Amino acid sequence: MSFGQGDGYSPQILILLVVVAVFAGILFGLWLFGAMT
Amino acid sequence: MATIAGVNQWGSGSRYGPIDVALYLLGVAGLAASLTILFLGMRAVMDVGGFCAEGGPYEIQTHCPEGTVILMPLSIFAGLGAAALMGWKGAQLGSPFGALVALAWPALFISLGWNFLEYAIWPPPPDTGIVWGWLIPGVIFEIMGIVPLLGLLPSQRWQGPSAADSPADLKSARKRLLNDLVSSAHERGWGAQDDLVSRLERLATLREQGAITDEEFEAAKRAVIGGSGQ
Repeated sequence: MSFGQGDGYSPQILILLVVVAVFAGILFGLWLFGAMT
Repeated sequence: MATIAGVNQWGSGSRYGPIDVALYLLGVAGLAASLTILFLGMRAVMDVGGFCAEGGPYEIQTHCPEGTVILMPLSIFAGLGAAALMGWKGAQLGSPFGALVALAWPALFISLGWNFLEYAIWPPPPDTGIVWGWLIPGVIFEIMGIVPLLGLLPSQRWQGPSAADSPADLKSARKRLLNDLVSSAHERGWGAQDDLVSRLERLATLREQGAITDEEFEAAKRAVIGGSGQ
């Protein structure tokens, strides 16, 4: 099965989402640590 | 609710939906958050000397920085849970996404090792000079983080088309070719006399190039000639 046929998630989108999730997680960690200490 | 079937080129072909993707990303974000909190918590504890205590019936010499008593154990268990979630859902998304969880190990040891090294070289007052008690775990942590990371990276390169670039690789590739040649000679026998001659010529070329020794050449030649008689 190939990409770009609207039948799944392209790896580019998934990789982008992973990068966004990593940054979001780091920001959340910084915020939580700052809020609780 | 409609479920989108996602199948990518790297995966095993298992189907996954938007909820699987969301849970995977939750695992990624949770792991990143846990590592961040652990990193910051460690620095906060090292700021008060590296040891602290709370609770219990004892007189406490150094209290822990506010919040770290809850945050540090929480970050460890939340991090383990997030890593499990990431590995589980990542396996459904495809092998690179599942394998990505392995990067948590280098991330953990390189970042915490950095704390040890930084506080060993620039210790907070009243310490001055290099603190060996922090330098040694720092070096050990960095080795524990960097070595597996280096182990992860070349394994991707070895699968590439330029596999036999170095002379050593070329030599081992030739030996594999030779082994294949000999085993196929045993299995099938050689169909034509011309074929046998060309195989022998290739063996001689391999010997001239130094890829095989004289003994290996003789053994392979016997095997090829023996295989032709089957």
